[in-house]
Amino acid sequence: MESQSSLEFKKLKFSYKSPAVDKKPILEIDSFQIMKGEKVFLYGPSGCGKSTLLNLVAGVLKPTEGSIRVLGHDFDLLSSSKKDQIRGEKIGYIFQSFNLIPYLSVKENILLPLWMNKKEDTSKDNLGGILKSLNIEELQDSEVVNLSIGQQQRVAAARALVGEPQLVIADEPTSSLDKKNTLEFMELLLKKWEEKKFTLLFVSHDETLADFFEKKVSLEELNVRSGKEQ
Amino acid sequence: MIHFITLKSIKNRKFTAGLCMASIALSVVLFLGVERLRKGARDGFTNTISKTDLIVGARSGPLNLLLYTVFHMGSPTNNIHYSTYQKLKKNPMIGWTIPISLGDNYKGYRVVGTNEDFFKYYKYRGDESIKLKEGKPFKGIFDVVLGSQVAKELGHKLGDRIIISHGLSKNALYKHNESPFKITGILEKTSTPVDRGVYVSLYGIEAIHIGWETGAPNEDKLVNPETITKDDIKIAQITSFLVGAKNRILTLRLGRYIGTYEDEPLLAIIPGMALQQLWKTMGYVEQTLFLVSLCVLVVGLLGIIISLYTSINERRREMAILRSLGAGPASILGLLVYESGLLVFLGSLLGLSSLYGCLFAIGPFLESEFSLFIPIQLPDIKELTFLFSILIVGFIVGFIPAFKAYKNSLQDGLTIKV
Repeated sequence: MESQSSLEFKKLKFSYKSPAVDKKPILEIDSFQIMKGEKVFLYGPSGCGKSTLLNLVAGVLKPTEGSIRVLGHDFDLLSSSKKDQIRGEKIGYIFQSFNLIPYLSVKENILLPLWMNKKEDTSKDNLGGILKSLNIEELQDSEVVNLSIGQQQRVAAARALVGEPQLVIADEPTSSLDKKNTLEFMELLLKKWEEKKFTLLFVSHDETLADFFEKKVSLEELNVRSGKEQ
Repeated sequence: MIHFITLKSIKNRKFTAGLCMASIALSVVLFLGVERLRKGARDGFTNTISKTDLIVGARSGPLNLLLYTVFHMGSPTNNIHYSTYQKLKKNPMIGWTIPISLGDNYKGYRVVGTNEDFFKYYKYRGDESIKLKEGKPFKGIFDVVLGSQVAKELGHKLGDRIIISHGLSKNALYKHNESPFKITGILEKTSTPVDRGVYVSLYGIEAIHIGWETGAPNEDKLVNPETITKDDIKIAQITSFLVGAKNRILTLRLGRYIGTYEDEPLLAIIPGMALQQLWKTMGYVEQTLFLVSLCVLVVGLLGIIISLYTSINERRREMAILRSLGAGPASILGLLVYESGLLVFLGSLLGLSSLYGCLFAIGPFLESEFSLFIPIQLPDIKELTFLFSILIVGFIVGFIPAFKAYKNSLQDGLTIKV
């Protein structure tokens, strides 16, 4: 039977191996699940391990103990290239610093994941819709360096969504935006979520955004270790 | 897609990519340039004389015979009888001959006694013939044709009269003052020792030595140039002669025949072989140039590696972004190796075109000032091998940052701060 969870942590522990770093786990999560199609707001102050958690989800870091299942795959057991393939085909990332490639146009930046995953055939179908729904249709041939911060973040979101991923991870996507752009971005992103029903893991330290989500998770509460220390 | 992104990336970093290509181009120009100089020097030397099958002279050393006959250097140890030359000339295996008679000089330049066949049959650098820049070949006994360098250095023109010195030394004690020669022709530049020769007829050489039997002028016996005719002159000996066989296959047999000629001890050498042998004795010149080429190659390749590595390392951030979008090792490797290969290819192309530009621009200067003829021709196998090698190096060099970028992009993680 197909798993209904998009993300599943079981008895997860993670500590850095470097002798310079405390060998005690910086993340310790007994059990946590995000179901398919859920939108989850994960929050916590800087340094609480949000980036570490995201890197674990992306398969960049390996858990010291326990397991993470991402879209039904046990990332620990997958080869590097298989993880690349899953990241490319099923996961979309929206970064805090947008990470657009400056010398490519808006359209080219958005199409990158499709090119990387050899899904050029779906380009035409998906591109038009995504450009329209994120209000960047007229900017498609512009250089990304000439865009405003808000426009750049919408391009980054379009890039994350163009491949119709099953899971979207947004890492502090609004931290560079002002209030107006933040609200506009959140509305567009959640409109897209309503439309496509992908699983959304939205990570932020800005708790005012929590109202956009039904499920809110504090990483500090989730992290057994920080709970113990508190 | 790889091609598109790579081109856009190179365009975005046009300054560093341009520097990288310039560095590659410079290495290509230096290596191929030094190689062409080396080849030019060797070919210029070995092509000093061509299409001549044998050089025949009195029995001595082959190099000595080659040096005094072709390069106008050293002294002939002995002469050969003119009658011997005439007999051998009639041999059915012989197609043509050019007699050479040496012994005097004009202001340090060798005076070469020969006949009209010199203008007809002498070839250099493949199939190039001796051509007159102005005037006509010698006809009269006291006519002279100057090599281009002699005319240029001494500022002579047609109609000038020159006095030949007796002997091979520039500071000879005696001059043939009684028999001045009139310049009737000046040769075109050949960038060979021909340019440094003063050409007169065998009759001329013989005529100015009438009355000089003791090595010094005997005033009573000296000729009057106004009255002497060719019938009054009996050519007794020449120094050597060049031979063109009727059929080149016969060259060895002809050489053996001449080498064992019973009436007079003779030596016949194949000029091509002798020139190669002489070039080998001066091998240090070529070895030095080869060493320079090798140093240029090593420094050039190191330069290529460093500039490619620096250029490609700039793309670490991009690689991290691309990995987060699902780019696998093949895509990352493809992008960086393709860029590296493309930079080397374009750099090599730029280098090659710059080389041809340089050859086109300074070739005439090298030829006129250093008698170094460097033909503008397509790259040979050796040069193509070099170009192919640096292309391979370019691809290999691309693997190092590609591997690093792939590995580091994982470490950079998804919170890219590179």
